[in-house]
Amino acid sequence: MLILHWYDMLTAEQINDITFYCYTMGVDCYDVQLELVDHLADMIEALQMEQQDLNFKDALEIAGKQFSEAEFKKIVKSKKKQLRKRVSRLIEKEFLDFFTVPKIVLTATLLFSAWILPSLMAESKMIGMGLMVLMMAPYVYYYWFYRKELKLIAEDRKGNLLCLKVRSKYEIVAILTASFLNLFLNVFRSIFDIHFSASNHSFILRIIFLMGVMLEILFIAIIFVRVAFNEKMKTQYPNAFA
Amino acid sequence: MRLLKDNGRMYGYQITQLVKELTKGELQITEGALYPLLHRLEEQGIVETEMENIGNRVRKYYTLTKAGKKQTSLAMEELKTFMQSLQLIVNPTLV
Repeated sequence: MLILHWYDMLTAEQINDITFYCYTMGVDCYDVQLELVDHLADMIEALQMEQQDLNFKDALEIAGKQFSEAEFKKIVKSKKKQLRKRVSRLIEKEFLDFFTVPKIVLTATLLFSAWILPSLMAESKMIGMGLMVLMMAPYVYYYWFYRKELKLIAEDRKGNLLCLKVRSKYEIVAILTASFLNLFLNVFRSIFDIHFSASNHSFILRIIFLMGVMLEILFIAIIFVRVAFNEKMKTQYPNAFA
Repeated sequence: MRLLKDNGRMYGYQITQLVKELTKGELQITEGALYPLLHRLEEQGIVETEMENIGNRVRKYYTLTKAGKKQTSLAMEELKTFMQSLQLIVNPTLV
């Protein structure tokens, strides 16, 4: 087995060249690249140990030839498959962890409030307005948070993580579903308000409110899961967030 | 899996070189075969990974999990039985 000293190891610039080589071979995500970069760097170092006069460029060419494009594709495909399962498992776990006993109690309180809110709203328009603002808050917070994170990723070239892309796909589906259902509930409630008298629709209105609150809770859970997931990824790939 | 059990933590290139060394060059694992296999084992919870900064790059080490160690022992037993059965077919007089 080869023993390398610090002076035998490749420079940061050479590592960047290998990273760029991987990029040209279709490996554009940092979390897939890092393993392949290390592998190619090991191959190059071994080649240079065997042939002292071999320069880095030629060594990269020789090492690259041992790695066919099909092999690169195969590795990326398998990594994507593995990450998809890992991310969904992690999201599921974070989602279940989010619903602790205090949060379940809070949820029950919110649901109870939602049950009695329609009658309070009928008495005061101010409560209705307050409720609307409260329901918008998680959405505003989410987009503010999302914008901040996008900026962070844009500033860092290495921030292109496959695991974040996979997570985003899950999130987009969840957010779109929640937003669509919320919109549907609001439209439905408005139509209901116009066409029916207050006396005979309070039960249906309450059901709509309950569903609305449940959606809000789901939305808040998505935000928390997102934060917890990103923290885990930052621990795992600190260089990507440096 | 056996290599990981014997050597503790290992990284991709190290595995390919050790296989080459142990089989005297008879068996060479290609990268296109090794990494998808390692990814699958990670997905199944048989191996776990850790990152370490080595020089100017990051290295990913693979280690067997507790479940992975158990599974390796079982797989080795199965392989042993299979080899014995194969021996019976190929050369029954030796057994």
